[in-house]
Amino acid sequence: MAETIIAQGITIDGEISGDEPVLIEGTVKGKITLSATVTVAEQGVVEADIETTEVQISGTLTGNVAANERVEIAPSGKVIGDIKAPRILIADGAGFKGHIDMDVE
Amino acid sequence: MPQGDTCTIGAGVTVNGRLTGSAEVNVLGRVEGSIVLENQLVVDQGGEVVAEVEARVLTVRGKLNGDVVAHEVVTLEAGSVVTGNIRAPRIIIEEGARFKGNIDMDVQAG
Repeated sequence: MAETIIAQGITIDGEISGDEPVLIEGTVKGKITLSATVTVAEQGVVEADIETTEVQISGTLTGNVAANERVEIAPSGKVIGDIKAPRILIADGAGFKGHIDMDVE
Repeated sequence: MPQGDTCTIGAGVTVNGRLTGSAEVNVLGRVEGSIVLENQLVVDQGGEVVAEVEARVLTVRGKLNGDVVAHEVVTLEAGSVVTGNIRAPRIIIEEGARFKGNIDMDVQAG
């Protein structure tokens, strides 16, 4: 399997789309539209809106997230933006500022 | 699997925009826009790049459409399909590669 890795030292300014998991250790600005897991590694910096199945954040994310399964902010993660997902986990130590919508009636 | 400093764009992924940086980039998916790298770009088998490319070293096994400037060497391997203009001090076109465009190795006439 060819996993997509945006390595440290790489910057993407634009849109990433597709149906495979993406691991971000570098910088992504713009938009991410996937039907797979997006992982923002500890060194990763994302300034983008994300629309995907699942998001795991150990790095820094600025932007809005819409996931149709799950969003997890790890202890080292820092997120500024709105999150919409049925399952949202924020670990002890994580930073977050924004709105959360788990679609609770 | 390439590890460490290698950046991989997997087969099911499309990047639309600017890709820049210092790590080595391996494209198995699709990139549209522009690529500016201090290191090596590999357009692997199955990979497709529609972009202006600037890199130190470029190796193509897949498809590339766009103008290329490489500071060291460009290799079009067997099976590659390339259209565009290439400027580099060393350019290698292997048997089985298909190419349409101009090549400039900075050779002085006379």
